[in-house]
Amino acid sequence: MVANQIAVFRTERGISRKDLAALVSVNPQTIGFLERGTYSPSVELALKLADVFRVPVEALFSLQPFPALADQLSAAQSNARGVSHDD
Amino acid sequence: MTTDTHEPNKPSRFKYILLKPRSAKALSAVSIAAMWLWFLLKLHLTDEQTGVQALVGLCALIGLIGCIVMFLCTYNFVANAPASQLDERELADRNAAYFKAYQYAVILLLVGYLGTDFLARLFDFQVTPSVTQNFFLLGFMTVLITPATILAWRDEDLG
Repeated sequence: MVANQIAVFRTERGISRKDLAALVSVNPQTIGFLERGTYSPSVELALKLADVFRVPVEALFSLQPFPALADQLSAAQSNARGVSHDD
Repeated sequence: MTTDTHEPNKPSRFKYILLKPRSAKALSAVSIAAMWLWFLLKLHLTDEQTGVQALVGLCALIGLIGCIVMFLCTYNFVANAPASQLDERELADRNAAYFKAYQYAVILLLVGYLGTDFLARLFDFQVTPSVTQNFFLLGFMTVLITPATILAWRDEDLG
């Protein structure tokens, strides 16, 4: 099963499932199935979703599970501290 | 498989009875079980068994009404709608549902051909034209709602 961050990007951009579904021409239920990871999209749909969020497709989909959001934030903060110390 | 032609929330969907996954699962299970029970009980029914006759009638009524409601529900819309009204997930689900329905129909025909003959020998009854008619009605009603039933059972309850 393909992991994805659709829910994260959708929430961040403030788009409802219904609006996102309309933007990529699918049923709103399909967005729910995608977000829960119970359906893997076609290449066409994956590219359309990446296009809506204006991110590369690999930022949205991965064959490996994405790290938890808290871990990603923590890593980003550590990197930021590292950069500021270097300066 | 394309999604370009999909038009979400087409008004035609609202002609159908909206059933939640849980309700559709329960209704389909009860309907199919009632139809099978009707067929099996009727095989061994005699004129003296009034209690069983009433039960057979009740099973037929529940089975037929349940099948008709399933036939008119939104899952049957997905099972029979033109491809242009469905998105890629719905099309994939429908393909899987029709494949399972085909398997069920083949098994049903096999059971009808061999199983009824075996049951006739085991319980000592004749495979009359009436039994064959009942079997065809059972097959028709259950195969009719099998794709919608499978779509309902593949769907998820979201609370």
